[in-house]
Amino acid sequence: MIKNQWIAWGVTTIGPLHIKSGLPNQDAMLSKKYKWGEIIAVSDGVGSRARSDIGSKAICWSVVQASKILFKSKKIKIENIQIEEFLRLLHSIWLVKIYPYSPKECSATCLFTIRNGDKLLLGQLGDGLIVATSTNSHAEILNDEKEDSFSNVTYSAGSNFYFEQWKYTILDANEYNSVLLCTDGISDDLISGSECDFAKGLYESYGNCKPRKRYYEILHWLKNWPTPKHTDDKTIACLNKVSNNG
Amino acid sequence: MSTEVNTLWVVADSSGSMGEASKLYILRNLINYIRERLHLSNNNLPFNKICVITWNEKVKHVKIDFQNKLPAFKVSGKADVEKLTQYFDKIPQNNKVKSRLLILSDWQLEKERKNIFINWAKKQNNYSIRVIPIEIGISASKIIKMSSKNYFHPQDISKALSPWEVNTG
Repeated sequence: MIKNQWIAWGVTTIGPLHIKSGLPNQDAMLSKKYKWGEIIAVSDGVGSRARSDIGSKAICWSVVQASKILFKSKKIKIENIQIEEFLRLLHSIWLVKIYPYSPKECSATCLFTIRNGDKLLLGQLGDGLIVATSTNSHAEILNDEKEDSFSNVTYSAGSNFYFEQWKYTILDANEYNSVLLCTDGISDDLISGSECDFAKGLYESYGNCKPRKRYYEILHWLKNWPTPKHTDDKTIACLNKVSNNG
Repeated sequence: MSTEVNTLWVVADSSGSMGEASKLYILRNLINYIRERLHLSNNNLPFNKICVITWNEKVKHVKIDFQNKLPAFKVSGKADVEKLTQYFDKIPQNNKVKSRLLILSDWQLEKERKNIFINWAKKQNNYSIRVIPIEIGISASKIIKMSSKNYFHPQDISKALSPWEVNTG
C-alpha cells in the first residue's frame, strides 16, 4: 500500500550585506512535525530594525506555538478554525516572545504553511512568496504584490494586529504535492510568472533527496546566487509530499 | 454544556516603578495574550473568564473585552499590599474550589511588605497564586530558583496558565 507523507525542510543563509556589516542573518526558518500534521514558518526581519533577527525567530516560534494550542485537540481542523482568531493569537504570542524588546525593534514578516488532515493553510504577512504546486496544473500563489504599483510599503508584525494585512488561503492537501516558501532575497529575483516552474523544479530535484545532500546543495546555490550584486539574506523552505510503501 | 464560571484574576501592578523601561509594555502584552487565547473556542485553559485589576495605592477593576483595544495602564504611587489582600479577602468565595490568581508585577516592594504578602499567600484557602515577575532581563534560571512551581518567566505565560489544577479549599 502506498502512503503519502509530508516532510518539511529548509535552508537559510546570511546575505553579503549583513556579512560585510557584521550583522546576523535576519531571516529565520522553523519546521515541526506533530501527530496531527506539519508546520513550516519562514520570516524576514525588517532590515532597518535593530533586533529584527530576534523578531523573525520569534514569529516562527509563534506560528508553531499557536498551531500547537489550536490543533492539540483532535476535534479541531483547519476548515473549522476562525483564521482571524488564529492570527490574533499568533500575534499576541509574538509580542510576548520578543521580550524584552519592542515591536518596533523586532519587526518581521511571516510566511507559514500548516498541514492538518486533508487541508493546507497558507498564511502571509509582508513580502516573500508562497507557492503550492501539484503534478498536474494546480498551482496557488500567495505573494505581497501591492495593489498600488507605486507603493513600497511592506507589511510586517508590529505593535497592533491588522487582519486585513494578512493573506491566507486553505487548500485541499490531496491536490498538491509541494508548498514552497521563500523570503524576498529569493522571490524578488525570480522572473515574474516563473514562480510555479521554480517551485516545481525544486520539488523534482530535491523532493526525494537525502536531507544532508539537499541541505548542502541548496546552501551552495544560495551562497552563489546568480543575481549580480545581490545583498539580501536568503531563506527557502518546503513542505513536500512523499510516497512511502507501507 | 457546563455554565460554571471559572475566573482567572489578573493583578496588573501599576505602581510607579512599572513605568521603568518596557515593563508596562510587557504587562500589556501578557494581558493581551491571555485575552486572545481565552477568546478561542478551544483554548485548553482551565478558566473561562478573566477579571483584571490594577494595583497601586488603590485596587481597581479594569474592563477588558475582545472587541476593544486594551486600556492604557497608567502608573503612579506605591503598590499597597494591604489594599490588595483586603480586596481579595472581601470577594465572596465558593469554598469548594480555589480561585486562580495571577500576579504581573516587578515586586518593587520593601522586605516587610513582601513578607506581609507571603504570609497572606501561605494562609490562602481561597486562591491558588502564580506570579510572573516583570523584571527586565530576568533569566528563566533565576525564576526557577525563586520557585519553579509558582513563578514563571514572561515568555512562559502559556505554562503559567495551563495546566493549573486547583485543589479544594
